[in-house]
Amino acid sequence: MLTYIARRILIGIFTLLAVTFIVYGLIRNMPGTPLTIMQETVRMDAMMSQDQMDKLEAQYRLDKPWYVGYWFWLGDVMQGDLGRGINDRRKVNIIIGERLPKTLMLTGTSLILTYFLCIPMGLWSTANALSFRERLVSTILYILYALPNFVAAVYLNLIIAVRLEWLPLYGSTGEGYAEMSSLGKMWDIVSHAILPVLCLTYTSLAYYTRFIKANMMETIQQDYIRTAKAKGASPTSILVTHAFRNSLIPLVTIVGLTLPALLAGSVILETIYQWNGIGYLFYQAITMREYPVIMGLVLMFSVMTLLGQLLADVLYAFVDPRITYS
Amino acid sequence: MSAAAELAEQPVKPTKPAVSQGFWATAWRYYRRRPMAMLGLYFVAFLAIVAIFSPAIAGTKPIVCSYKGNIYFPCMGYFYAPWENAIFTTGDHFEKRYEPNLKANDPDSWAIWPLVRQDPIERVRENWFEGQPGNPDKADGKPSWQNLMGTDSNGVDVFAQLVHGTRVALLVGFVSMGIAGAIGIAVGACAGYFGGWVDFVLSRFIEIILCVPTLILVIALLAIAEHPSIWQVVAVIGLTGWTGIARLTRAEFLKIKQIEYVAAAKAMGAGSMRIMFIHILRNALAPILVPISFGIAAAIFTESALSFLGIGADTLTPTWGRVLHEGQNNIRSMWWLIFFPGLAIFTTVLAYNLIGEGIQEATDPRTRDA
Repeated sequence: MLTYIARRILIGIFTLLAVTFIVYGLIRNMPGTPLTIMQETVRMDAMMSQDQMDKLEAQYRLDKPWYVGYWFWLGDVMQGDLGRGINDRRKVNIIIGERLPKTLMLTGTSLILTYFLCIPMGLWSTANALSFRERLVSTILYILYALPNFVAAVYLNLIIAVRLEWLPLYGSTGEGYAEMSSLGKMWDIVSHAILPVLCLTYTSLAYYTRFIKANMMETIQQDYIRTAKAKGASPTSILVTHAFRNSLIPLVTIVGLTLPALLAGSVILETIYQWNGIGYLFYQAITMREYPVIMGLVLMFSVMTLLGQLLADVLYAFVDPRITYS
Repeated sequence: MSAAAELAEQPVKPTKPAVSQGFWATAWRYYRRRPMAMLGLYFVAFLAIVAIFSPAIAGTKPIVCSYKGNIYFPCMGYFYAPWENAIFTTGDHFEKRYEPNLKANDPDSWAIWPLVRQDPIERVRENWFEGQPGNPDKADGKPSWQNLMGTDSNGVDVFAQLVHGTRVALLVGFVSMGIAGAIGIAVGACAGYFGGWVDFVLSRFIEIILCVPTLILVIALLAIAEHPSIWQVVAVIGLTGWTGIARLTRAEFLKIKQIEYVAAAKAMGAGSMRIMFIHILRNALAPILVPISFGIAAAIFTESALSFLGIGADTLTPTWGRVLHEGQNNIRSMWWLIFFPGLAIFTTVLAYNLIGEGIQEATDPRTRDA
């Protein structure tokens, strides 16, 4: 097992090098550099002189070709330095670290909600399979699964935020946030988070519920379930203790895959709700050509994706004794 | 297809031993039994009809007209701009105002007009058609008999944009998945069939692409093009969407190459290409079709998401996502810019998902009879 993990990590490092190399090449070849875009957006009197430009260019290695610049970036990363932002002169890890809690607030809540709801719903669907109520719920879930989240987001905005004015339209905190009481602050944050969390949750909820039901339907046709029925176990006990335990195995693999999604947030939803999280940061970084920030984010996404895959494979061997990696 | 019609089709007693149905005929028979899957198929067929006849449904250029003794089809310009006959554009300078110019230049001319005289890109002005006032703009452009789904903030008709946007939606789905399918099948087939170091290298390659979130890869690739045309958007979606197909193809090939008939083909001297693409691919095609049809839904989703974020195709191509984008910007005053394009995107994605699931269930013997 240990040799397997070591080998996977070695391959993973190679993959990381390739991913960052490709992405660095891609973003350096986008038209415009952070400096030219900065020049376009600032006022005339705040424009930089040619001298300052040259200095900054040298500092961010924009004067060197991209394949040379990459090795400088890599060298800095090896020393634990992700560099500094170009517009926002702070360190990249601080810029990212500042946005992470915001994204985690959305994705974490959504993930917890999904898991808390999908298991009982999946079990309920299995127990009531083919009944009218179950078919109705399944159809609704199926439709929700196909509903693109940005369409749902604008529909919900239109109805709940604009027509009914129940919840704020966008942002993560309202006006006069600083003067609110702590209870008011809490409600303010929650009210801003409800719509994005809802949009983030419904697709995965529909997917996981269907996934659990499909696995359970396969499990309950096994012989040992018939044995359990024959020995007089109650339906609930058959469903929960006998069947569900075994359909947990495929569920474990998905858990590993949700790890990157947890940190990446959602570019579209965060842009719609102007939620200052990782997805929005990425979108801004791309439009402003903030090379160090983009590279930092891509590094984080790739590490998380690879770790998630490794975690899923290791967990798989852990819960299913038939699988070994020796 | 109702059960009664099914029964009526099947002969009561075949007079001679019937030849058993082939794989695809059987799959189609099972597919037809699923009303939801058929509904998805009908909907896509409906979209295809709308896309093909889009210039005849909504447009300001005549479908057919007689002008100075010749017959022209100016509406073809909606498919490809140079197909609009030069006599109307650089020749007699119609400036898109067909009706008054036709009459003024040639009193004997006649024309058959599209059902709805509205343009998907430009605002129809007062003097374009006799008896048809100019389009309202901004919050005045509510749905009305003149503008069935309202107009956007520039006064362009939304119905015309959605009808012409159907072409983009279908094109994006099929062309990008064609590209993705070709790459995915080629990569997956090589990895699965040759195994060894080829498999190792290709699998790492797939892993590298998978590591970068799709939307991010797409945004980065599109930024290189600066003002991407719809074809570039389609190409980028295709170039980034093949990893799932490749993985599945690889798994299928790993499984099928163990079967004896492959060894038999090898023994008879068939080359690798022949075995891979004629012998194995045929048997692997059904499971591969499933991610392709889900991929079409995902491609339509991605394209409209890009247009929605304002980084999709240039403004010369009407797309559903861009109308929605404008709706998002005017959410407080113009609900019709959200409701109609949202519905179009949703129903199309749903239809492809239904088809994908239908194929999956009809080709998998374990779920066929469920």
